[in-house]
Amino acid sequence: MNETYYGKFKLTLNFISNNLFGDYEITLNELNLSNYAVTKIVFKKASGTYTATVTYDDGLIMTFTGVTNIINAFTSDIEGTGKIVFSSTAVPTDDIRGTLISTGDLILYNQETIFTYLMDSPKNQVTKTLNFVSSMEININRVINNKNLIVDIANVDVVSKKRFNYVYIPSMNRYYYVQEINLLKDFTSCSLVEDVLMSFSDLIRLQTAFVERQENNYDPDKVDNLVSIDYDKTITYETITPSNDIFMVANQETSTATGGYWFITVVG
Amino acid sequence: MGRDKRNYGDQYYVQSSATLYRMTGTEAENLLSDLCDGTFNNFSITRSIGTNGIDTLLANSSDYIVNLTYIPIDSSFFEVGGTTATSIVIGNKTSTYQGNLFTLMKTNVKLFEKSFSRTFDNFLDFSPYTKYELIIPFFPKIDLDANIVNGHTLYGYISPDFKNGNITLYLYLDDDYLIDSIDSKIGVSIPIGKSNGEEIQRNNVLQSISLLGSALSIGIGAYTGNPLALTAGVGMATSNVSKLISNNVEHLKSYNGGNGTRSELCVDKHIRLITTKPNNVKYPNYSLRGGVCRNNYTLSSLSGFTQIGDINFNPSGYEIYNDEISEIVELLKSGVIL
Repeated sequence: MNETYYGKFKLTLNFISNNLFGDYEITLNELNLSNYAVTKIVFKKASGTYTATVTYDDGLIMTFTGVTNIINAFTSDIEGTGKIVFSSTAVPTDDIRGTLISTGDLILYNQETIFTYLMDSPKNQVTKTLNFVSSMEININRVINNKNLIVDIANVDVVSKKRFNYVYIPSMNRYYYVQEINLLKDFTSCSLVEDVLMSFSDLIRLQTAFVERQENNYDPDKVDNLVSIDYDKTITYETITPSNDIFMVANQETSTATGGYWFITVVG
Repeated sequence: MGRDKRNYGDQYYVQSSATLYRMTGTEAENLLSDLCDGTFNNFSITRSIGTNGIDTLLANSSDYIVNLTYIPIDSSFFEVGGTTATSIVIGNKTSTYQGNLFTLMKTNVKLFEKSFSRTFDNFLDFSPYTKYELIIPFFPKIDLDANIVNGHTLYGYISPDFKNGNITLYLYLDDDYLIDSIDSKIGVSIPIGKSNGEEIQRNNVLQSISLLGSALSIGIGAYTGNPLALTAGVGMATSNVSKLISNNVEHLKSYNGGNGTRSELCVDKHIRLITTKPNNVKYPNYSLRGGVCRNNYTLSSLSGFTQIGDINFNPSGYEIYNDEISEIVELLKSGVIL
């Protein structure tokens, strides 16, 4: 199965448990040395040994070995574009784990500062009304895809005392609904789902579109199928007063008066 | 929609070669009586040719009668300068029959004007939701297009042909633009001429009319109720004349009224408008569903509920992915609040 990821990403080199697309886990078993952005990773297999060559955006290149087993090859694209192509035919079983998010220019940190809010606007409202609750440190536990995250919050007290239902992650520059909160032994796990409307409200307003229905700009003379009318109609009868009463009338009940004339056309 | 300007009050000059007279029922009866009993043929018409003054006795002097038509219209509305009571000149003979001579007549007279206003101020004011039907005596029912007349004033002008009983109704919008003309029949012509005399007998047009000592009265009558009565003939066991008229004239119905053996023809004299409109209209909540827009807008110029049809989403250099764009477009198509 081939999966392609684009953009820069940051890989923290501690042991990080993560699940990627297709449940592949990648770990580089070296200590975390820097927080620089990774521009390229090359994984190569040689006689059963995998090596990972990591290039950082400051030019540093590091090589890691000891990764064994299943994944055949990880090669990056031309340096700078950050494209990583994974090619594998089997599910890894060894400690190949890591946090690898390669989507555009996002840099996803294992530890993040997030801002929490209480949001009470309708979900289809583009710009939400937010009431700030707090900022807090979280660990990104799992990335299902670029729109869905599971984050772990260690300070349970913070969670229990300050309710929130909406989150902003600065490094992602995106807003998220809190879909689900699971209270676990040592931490609280929150499932987050991206709010694309709020995250891209400015971009949305730049768009030009053919608008079908609008609250304040509509033409009442255009047929509206949402207007309901009864099958029965209202019928009114009106007598129009003539401008000139040219039709001759005689009340035959009360008189023998005649109406109308005879017109004769003669040659002469 | 036609843009023929209405020429109100056009006049035509009655040609001297075929002269139109207005006659009363009594005078018409006298004429018909003479036609039927042959008296009219004694009315010899001579023609002078050149200076020889050859007198010619025409076999069919009744052939000089072009038309004899009954029309239930007050022609005074059309007469210009009034008419002159005179003896009818047939050929070069002055007859004993009396009639009013026309010199100048108007071609049409205003019958009505009616303003149409919108009720709903939306698409319900137009076809097929709103419907107007105009009923004018002697004309078939006229369907008016609500799309044309709403917000305007309709003018109706009548143009009768007093020679043959044809009539035309002209409908103008705002007294300016012709939108329709409808032809109909308001009068009925009695076929005249010796060659037709026997035909008249065979067709029983006048057969059952007892003319001697009776008044031939035909007119449109108005009951207090509905319908209005047109009475024809006296002493008619059968309504041949009325049948002749009712077969040829719109809205006239044969009606056995309460005047003994008189058979009557009835017509509703009034001009009526039947309006059909929608009932119990319920509008959607515009803050939840919006109204029909169907126009192109930049979304920054809008506020409130917005539902789009088509969009060519331009990322404009933003860091956004295809699945996010797809979700945004899907949400815009289902409706968002800007």
